[in-house]
Amino acid sequence: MYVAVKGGEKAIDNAHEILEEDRRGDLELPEIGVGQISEQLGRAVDRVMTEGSVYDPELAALAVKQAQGDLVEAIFLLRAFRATLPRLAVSRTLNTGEMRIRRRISATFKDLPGGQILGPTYDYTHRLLDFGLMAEKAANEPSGETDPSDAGDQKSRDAEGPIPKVLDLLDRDGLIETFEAGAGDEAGEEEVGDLTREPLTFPAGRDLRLQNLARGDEGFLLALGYSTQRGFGNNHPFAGEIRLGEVDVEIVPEELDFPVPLGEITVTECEMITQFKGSKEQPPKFTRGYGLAFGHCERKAMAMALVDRALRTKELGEEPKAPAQDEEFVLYHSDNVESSGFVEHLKLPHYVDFQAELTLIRKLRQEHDDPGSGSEPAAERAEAGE
Amino acid sequence: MGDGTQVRGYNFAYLDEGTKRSIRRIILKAIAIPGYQVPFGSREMPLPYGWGTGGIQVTASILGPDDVLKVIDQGADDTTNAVSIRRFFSRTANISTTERTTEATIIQTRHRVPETPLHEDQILVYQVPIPEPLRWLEPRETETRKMHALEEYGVMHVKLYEDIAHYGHIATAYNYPALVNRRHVMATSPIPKFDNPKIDRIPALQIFGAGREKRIYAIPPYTEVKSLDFEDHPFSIETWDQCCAMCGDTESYLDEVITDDEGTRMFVCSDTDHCRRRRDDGHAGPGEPGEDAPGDDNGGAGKGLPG
Amino acid sequence: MAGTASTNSAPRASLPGLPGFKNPVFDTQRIFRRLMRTMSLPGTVVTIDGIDLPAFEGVMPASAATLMALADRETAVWIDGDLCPSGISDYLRFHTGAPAAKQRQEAVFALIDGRSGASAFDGFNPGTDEYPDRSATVIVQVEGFGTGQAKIIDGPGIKEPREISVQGLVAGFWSRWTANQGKYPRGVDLFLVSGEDVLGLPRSVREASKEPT
Repeated sequence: MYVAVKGGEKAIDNAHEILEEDRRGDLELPEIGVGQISEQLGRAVDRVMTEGSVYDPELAALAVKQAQGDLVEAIFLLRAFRATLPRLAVSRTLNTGEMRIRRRISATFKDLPGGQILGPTYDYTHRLLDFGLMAEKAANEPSGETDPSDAGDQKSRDAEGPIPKVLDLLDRDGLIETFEAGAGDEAGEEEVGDLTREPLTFPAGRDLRLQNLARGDEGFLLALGYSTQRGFGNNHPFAGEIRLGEVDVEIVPEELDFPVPLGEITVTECEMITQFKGSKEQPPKFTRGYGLAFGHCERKAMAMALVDRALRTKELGEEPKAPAQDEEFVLYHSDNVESSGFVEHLKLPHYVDFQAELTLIRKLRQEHDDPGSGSEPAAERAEAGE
Repeated sequence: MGDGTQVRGYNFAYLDEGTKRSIRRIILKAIAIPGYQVPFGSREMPLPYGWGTGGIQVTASILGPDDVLKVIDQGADDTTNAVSIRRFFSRTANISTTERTTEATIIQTRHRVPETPLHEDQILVYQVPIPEPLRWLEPRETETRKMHALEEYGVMHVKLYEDIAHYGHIATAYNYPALVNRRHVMATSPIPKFDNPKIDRIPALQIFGAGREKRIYAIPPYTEVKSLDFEDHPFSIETWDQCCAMCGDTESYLDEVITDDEGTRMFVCSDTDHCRRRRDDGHAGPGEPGEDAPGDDNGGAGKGLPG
Repeated sequence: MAGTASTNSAPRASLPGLPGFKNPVFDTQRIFRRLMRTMSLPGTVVTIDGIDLPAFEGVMPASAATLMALADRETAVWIDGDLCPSGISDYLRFHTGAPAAKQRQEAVFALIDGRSGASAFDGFNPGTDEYPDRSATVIVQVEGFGTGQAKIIDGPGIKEPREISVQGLVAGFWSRWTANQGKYPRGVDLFLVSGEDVLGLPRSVREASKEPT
């Protein structure tokens, strides 16, 4: 006998139990710790913090653990947690010029003040599986004694203070555009939008665009950035500077007149330089694309900078031709919590609407086979006058 | 149905008070402009986008300790997502839940309007995936927003008219567009067009939440919701040749169920509460094919289809 | 039971102030539901009782309750000149973070007296064609419902055209209302308040022809 499907509740409970077993895996093996994840799977944690929009390595590591390493799921977990947090204050603008640098490279100059600092990078590794890491205790355990300054050619920078930014050097010659900072900008007080509180409207200002891209899916931005290099919105980019390191976060409380440091965070910053042919009003010059990510997320920061520049097409009076230059297309589809949710919602039952489609298709087929029977109103209940 | 405890570390009904406050302001504006989609600062919820986050945020913002909540998906209380959302609220708000339409003060739904008529003290909350009725005709929000502002709905009429020219009738079976308060065209969430007459001038307040698209819209009680049509092609709804196999109803929306490997079909009410109530009242249907009605007598529509 | 979390919008907890809601979570929910009811069933008077907020000179209980339940740091509030000395503005800022609006045009909420011609509701922001929701909600304090000038209203939320009567509105109020209605879907929305009673007038409500159909 047919009975309407019951027991959804029990099915969900069982599924959760099985999931938990699946997550834990073989009980003979020790459980992975959150500390191990944040220390040894740092790049995963950094991506989750960046796209999850919360700087907290421990929570991000927890999310990675809970999601079995599914980073989009982990990002979702962290976002859902973030959504319940009160917004207590707005920090001052980060001063990445004061960054305590661990890595800093520029593709646009062979050598420059502060030097090229390779730091922790896969760039020049040979991608050969290191079977030494298979062992519980790797044979090539690092000594922990490498001086970071050895991974570069910079000369005793401590004595000279902060390392100047490459684009500021170009700026001195007037070759690159400058952003007019508002009066309040210096003090970090200029009102910036927040698309987690007010949904996106178009045209989106630079603040909203960058916020959207910073939270955006790395893979999506990577593909779009890549497309601009392949002629879909060509903008001839150069990696002006990429820097990784620690910066201070400060707030100015309402009742105090001076900034109070909250601590430091690790960020990756990328400034792309692109050519601009000039217009009637403006001479030819270099323009900027900007990328910033929590932790060490270089690929993301670079892709973000490319897409940021591509989305400035209209502002610079260029003709938009490519998907990456289409603000609505990019900003509405960048968020992987939104996109994965909606794609995966197709798993939910849709049988009521499908039933409506079934009825319609049958009717259309019937009419197709027997044209005379077409729009006989008897087949449907007229509702015009109720 | 709450078990007397609430999930630790979270506010009543999950959302923080600041978020609820902003959503409440949005709901009031949505009520003041029936059918107009109000942008709101949708939050990430612990359930994924596309799985009812808009409806959940609306419900969480209006819900109080005295409310009785019913959650349905496809008309049924026991579909997994309905169970999951109902459980979310009994856990985070410790409120009473029900499967009976008549007992509920708030009904959150996906894809259906209950068969049982609603009254003034009930609120129907819809989960909406794509709130923009013009989206399939114009993908750009900047354009569709202008079209709503200018009451420029020509493209929609052209689309429906092309259907008629092509098929002899309007070939939209669900999410059938409607004009609210003679001003705004709205997406019907999507419910099957069978349900469109059930949202027109009803006594209950209807609120539509689209979480991922960050829009809320509403239909106040007794507000005209006119399904778009043409004088010579009036709006009409689906009918079935069959009745519900379980309760015998000939008026309700029926789901088609395949009962064996040969593709034998039967039809049952999509609204599980409605069907149960009718059976409690002594109504009965023909039952499962092969049981009470041997030899596949379940009507013409199922015949001639590839099994 | 539930509701331990407080609002996250009190900006400076160190400042001295009068007490706010006894139970912020459930008080605000209850107030909102009544406001939503009168907004969705225009002409229906709801009563906001059992909310024990401090009294402010000239400010009616339902006015204070409405603002306390809906305002926050993102909503500038305009307070009518005569009501300013009451201190309601500072109280709202302390408990909800809502800033005082300097111009009428920037107010998201406004509190005005129904008899004061200078405080006409039509000076507030009616929203834009593309975003008609970005309009002000104006609380108009009146003397009472059920007496005074009668009007028959119709529109969404109204089953049959119904009569409402309001005591204590400035002359010309209803012609201003018709002008507001004429901007639809733009326009301001009103809560008429008398003591603990509230009558919602969304912009969609129009004056009906004299004889109800």
